[in-house]
Amino acid sequence: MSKAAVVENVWWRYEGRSDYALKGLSLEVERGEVLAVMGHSGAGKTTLALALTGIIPQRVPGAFKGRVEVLGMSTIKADVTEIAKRAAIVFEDPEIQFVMSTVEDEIALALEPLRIGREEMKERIVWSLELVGLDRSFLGRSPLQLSGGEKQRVAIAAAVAREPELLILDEPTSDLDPAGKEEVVAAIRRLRDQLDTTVVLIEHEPEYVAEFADRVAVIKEGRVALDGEPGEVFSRVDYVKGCGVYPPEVSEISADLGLGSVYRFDQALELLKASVKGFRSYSFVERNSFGSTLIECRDVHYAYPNGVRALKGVSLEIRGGELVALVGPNGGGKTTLAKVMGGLLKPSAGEVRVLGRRVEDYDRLTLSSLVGYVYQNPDHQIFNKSVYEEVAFGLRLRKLPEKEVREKVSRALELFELKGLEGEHPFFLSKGEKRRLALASVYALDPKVLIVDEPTTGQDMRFNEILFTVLKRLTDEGRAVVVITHSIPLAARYADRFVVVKDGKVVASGSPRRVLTSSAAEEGRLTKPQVLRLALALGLDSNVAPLSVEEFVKVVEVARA
Amino acid sequence: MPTVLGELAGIEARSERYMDLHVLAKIVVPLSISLSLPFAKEPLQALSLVAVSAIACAAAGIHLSALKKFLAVIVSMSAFIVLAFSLFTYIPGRVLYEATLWKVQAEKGVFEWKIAVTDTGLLYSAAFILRIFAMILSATLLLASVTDRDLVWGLFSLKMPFGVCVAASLFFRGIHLFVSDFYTVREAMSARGVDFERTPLVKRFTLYANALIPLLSLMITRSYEVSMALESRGIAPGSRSASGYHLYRMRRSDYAAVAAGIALTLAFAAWGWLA
Amino acid sequence: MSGEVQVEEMPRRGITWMHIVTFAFATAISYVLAVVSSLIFPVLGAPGVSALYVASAIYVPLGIWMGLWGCLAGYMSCFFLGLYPSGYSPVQSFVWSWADFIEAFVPLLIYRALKADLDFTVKRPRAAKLLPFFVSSGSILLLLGIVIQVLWGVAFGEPFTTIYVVLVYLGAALAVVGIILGLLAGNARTWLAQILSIIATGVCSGLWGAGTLTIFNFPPPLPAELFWPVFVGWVLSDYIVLSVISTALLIALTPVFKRTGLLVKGWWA
Repeated sequence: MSKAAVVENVWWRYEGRSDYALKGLSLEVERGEVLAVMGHSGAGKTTLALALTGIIPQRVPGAFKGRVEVLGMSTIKADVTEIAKRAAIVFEDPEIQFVMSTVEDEIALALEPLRIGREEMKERIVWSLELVGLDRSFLGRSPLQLSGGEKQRVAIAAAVAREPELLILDEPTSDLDPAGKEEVVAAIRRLRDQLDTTVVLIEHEPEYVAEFADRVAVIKEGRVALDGEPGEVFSRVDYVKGCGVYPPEVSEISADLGLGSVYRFDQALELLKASVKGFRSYSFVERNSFGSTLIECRDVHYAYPNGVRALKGVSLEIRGGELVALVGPNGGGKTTLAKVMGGLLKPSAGEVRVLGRRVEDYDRLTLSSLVGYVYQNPDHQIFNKSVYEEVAFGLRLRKLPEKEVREKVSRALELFELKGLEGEHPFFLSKGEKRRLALASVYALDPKVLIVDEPTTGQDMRFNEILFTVLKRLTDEGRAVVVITHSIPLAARYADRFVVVKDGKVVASGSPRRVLTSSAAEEGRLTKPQVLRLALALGLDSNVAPLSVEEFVKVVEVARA
Repeated sequence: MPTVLGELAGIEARSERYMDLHVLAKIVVPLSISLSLPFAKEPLQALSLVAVSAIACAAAGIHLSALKKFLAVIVSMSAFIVLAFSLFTYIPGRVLYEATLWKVQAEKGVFEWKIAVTDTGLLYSAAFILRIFAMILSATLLLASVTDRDLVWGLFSLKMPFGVCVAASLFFRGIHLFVSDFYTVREAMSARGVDFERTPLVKRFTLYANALIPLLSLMITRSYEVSMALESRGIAPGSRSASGYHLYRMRRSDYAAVAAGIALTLAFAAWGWLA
Repeated sequence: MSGEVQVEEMPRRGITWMHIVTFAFATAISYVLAVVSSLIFPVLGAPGVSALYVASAIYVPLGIWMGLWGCLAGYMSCFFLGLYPSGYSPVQSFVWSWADFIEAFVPLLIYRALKADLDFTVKRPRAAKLLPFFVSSGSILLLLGIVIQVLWGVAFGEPFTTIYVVLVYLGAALAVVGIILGLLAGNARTWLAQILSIIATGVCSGLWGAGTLTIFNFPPPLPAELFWPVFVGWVLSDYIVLSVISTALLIALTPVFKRTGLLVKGWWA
C-alpha cells in the first residue's frame, strides 16, 4: 500500500528570515496510522503541516527544496485546491478558522471544493457535527458564541465533512481550557473509532499522544530527531526532554524506578501495584510564611455593562513573596478578578487596597508601577517598533533619565533572555519571545505585584517550565506573582497557593496539594497531575499526595526502603 | 443573527415578516427612500418622505426611539443648516432677525459679515432638516434589517466569487474582533501607565500611533492565520460556488416590497417634477 | 545547509486569500476607528467628518503598502460610516465615500510616479520628529491663505490680500523646511513622496468629501454655504493625522509588510 505522505529532505525558509524552518526534514506517514509529531515551539511542526497540504510552498513566499508527496500528489505540481479535496487540516486557534456567520455556513463552505449537490451537503453537515458530538441545534449558531471546545469541534467537523484521506490536527487542544480539551479529545476518539483516515497529530500533551498515537516523530530544529513507537520514544526521557518534549509522567517515573518502557497510565498502575506493597507516611515541606499583604480584596463585586455579574463577593489577600495561581473554569471570573486587583476595572461594590491604600486613591502611573499586568495575548501590549523601545516605553512615560532607562532595560532583557534582540522588530519574534518581551516590559517598571494572564497557553512544556522558574525567582525578590493558568500540573509544582475561582466566587484557597486533593478540584474542573492520579489510584493518602515525578519517586523509595 | 446596527448600537428590526424578506427587498426599500431624497426639495415633500420612512421603519419593527442614537447628529446638523442659511449666506425674504458681526472697510468696499434670519431661509432650513430625518431613517432601516448572513447569502446566490463573499463575511467578523481589540489595547496602555484623559493633546496624538501598532500587528497576524485556514479549505478566491447550497429565492412578498420601493421613488420623482 | 537552495518553479501568485483577508480586516479596523473618531472628535454639523480621523492612518498607509486594496478599504469603511453613525442615505454615502478612496489613491499614485522605494529607515530621528509639525503647519497656513484670498481677497482686496500673502509665504516657508527635514530624515525619494502625498491628498479628498456633503450629491445633506468650513476642517484633520500618525505607522510597520510578503508591487497583487 502506498504511503499517505512522503517528505524527503525538505528545506524551507520563510521570506525575510535568515534561518531555515525545515532543515532537510525527512518523514514518512503510513496509510491508516496515527502519527504524533512532537517538538518544542519553533521546531517546525506547523511548517511541516503546511508543507503536507501544499500551502508551503505554493501560497507562502519563501525558499523551498526537497520533495513532498501527499496521497500520491506532488505538493509542487498538484494545486493546493486539489490536495485539499483529500487532505484536511485543523489549526491550533479555533477563532481563526471561522469565516462565516453560522456553523452551518462554515461547514458548507468547507464542502464547496467537492462540488457535490445540495442535499448531500446537508447530510454531510449534520453527519460531521454528530461525529464530533454536536447536534443540529448548533447549525444556526454563530461560531463566536461557542465555547473554545465547541469551536474547535466545529473546526474538526468542517475538516472531516470532506471525509479526507489524510487529517492533520495541529495542536487542536493547545488553546483550550481543560473542559474544552476533554471535549476535543472525546471528538478525536470518535473520529479514530469511526473514520478510516490517516491522522497526523501535532501535540504537546504527552498523555494524548500516549492514548492515540501508533508512532511518534520528535522534531528538533527543523529535523526529525527521533521516530518510533510511543514506548520506544518516551523511554528515552532525557533525550526527548532535550528536544523540548516532555514524556508522560508515568514514563519518567518508570524510568527512574526501573520499571521498563512504560507510557500508559494503566500499564504504570499495574506495575506499581505489583512492585510496591504498602506506602509509608511522608510529609512534604510546604512554605507557609510570606511577606506583608500587598493587595487586599474585600467583598468585591463586579458587573459588566451588559449586566453579567462576574464577581460576587470575593475576599482575597496577596502577600509578598507568594506565587498565587488563579485557577478554575473559563468564564468563572479569574481575569475579571485579576483586572480588578490591577485597578483596570472598578468594582461595583467592595474595596480593593494596594499597599494599604484604596485603588481609587492612586493615579494611573503610580498604580501601574506597583501592580503590573501582562495580557494573555502579548500582541495586545506591544506598542513599539523595536524590543528596546518596547521595554523602555513605560520607563520613558515616567520621564526617567535615559541612563536609568538603559540600565533597567538591560536588566529586564537579561532576566527574560532577550539580550541580543534589542533592535529586532517585535512582530518577528516567536510567540515565546513576545511573551517574554511583554513580561520584560512590565518587569522593567519594578512592580511589587505582577499579574500574568494565561502565559502558558499554546506554549511547549519547556518554555512553560522556564517561565514558571523565572516567575518563581521574582517571588524570591519579595514580589508577589499572580498567574492565571490552566496548566495545573505545572502550576502545582511552582505555586505557593491555588485560588479556585468559579461562578464569580473563590471556592477554595490553599496549597496546591490541599486544593487538588479536596472537592474543590472537581468543582473547579482542575486537571490533576498524572502523578497525583496515579498516587490516588494506588490508594495513597491525600496527605502524602505527590505533585511531581520527583515527589512520587521519593514516596516509592521510602515505601521500598 | 445580529445586524450591523444591532452589534454597534443595539438597534434591530424586530418584525419577523420584514426580516424574512429577501436581502434584495431589504436593500431596495431603504434605497428607494434615499433615491427619493433629491426630489423632496420643499418642506411638504420632505415631510411626506419622513412619514413614509417612519412607516417603513415601524413596519420593520424598528422603534423610532432609535433616533435617540442620532440625536447629536440631528441637533448639530440642524444648527449648522440654520447657520448656513443665516450666517454664511443671505436668502432674500422677510427679515426676522439681523445683526452685523463684523464690519471691515476693505480696499474695494465694505466687507460685512452678518447674521440674517429670513422666513425663506427658515423654509429652506426646514426642508433640509426634514430630509435629515428621512436620510437617517433610510440608513437605519438598511443597517438594522440586513444581517451579515443575508448579505453573504445574497452574494453567493448571485454567483459572486468566493473572495467577495468571504470578504463580506470577514468584514462583519472583523468589526466584532477589532472592537474588542481596540478596548483591550487601550486598557493595556493604561496598564502601562498611560492616562488618556490627563495626557496633553499633542502627546495623545503620538500615543494613538502607539495604540495603532498592536492593532495593525494583530490584523496582519490574524490575516495570515485566517488565510492559511482558507487556503487549506481548497477554495480559490476567484472561483464560484457550484453547489447551489445558497438557494435564496424571492417570493411574492419580496417582489411586492421591491415594487413598492420603486413606486415610491417614481411617485416622488413625479411630484418633484410637477412641483 | 551548505550551498544554495534550489527554489522550485512556483506558479505566479496573483491575488491570494492573504490579500482578501487583510483587506476585509483592514476595512473592519478602519470602520471601527472611523466610528470612534467621529464620535470622540466630531466636526459639529458635518457628521462623519472628524477633527482627528484616525481611520485614515490605516487605509492611507495600506494603499501605499497594498495598492488598490487600501483604497477600497478606505471606500468601504467610509461607506458604512456614512450609514452609521453619520445617518447619510445609502446613495449619499455611496457618492461621498469616494473621498476616502481618493485619500488613499493619491499617495499611491505619487509613490508609484516617483518610484519611491518604501524605505522609511530613519537616519536622523530629530528631523523625522520635527517634520510633521513643519509640514502640517506649513500646509495649513498655505491652505488658509488661499481660502481667504478666494473667498474675500479677490472681491474685497486689502486687508485680505495682505493676510493671504503673509499666510502663503509663511506657510510655504514652513512647508519647505518640512521638505528639507524630510530629505534629511532618511531616503530622500521616499520622504519626498510622503510629504507630497500628505499635502496633495488632503486637498483632493477634501474637495470631494466637502463637495459631496454640500454641493453635489443625491442630494447633498448640507447646504452649499457650508462647503468652505467643512473643506478646511477636513483638510486640517488630514494634515495632522497623516503627518503624525500615518507617518509613524509607515516607519513602524513597513518592515513588517515587506517581510510578510504583503507588499503589493502591482495594483492588486
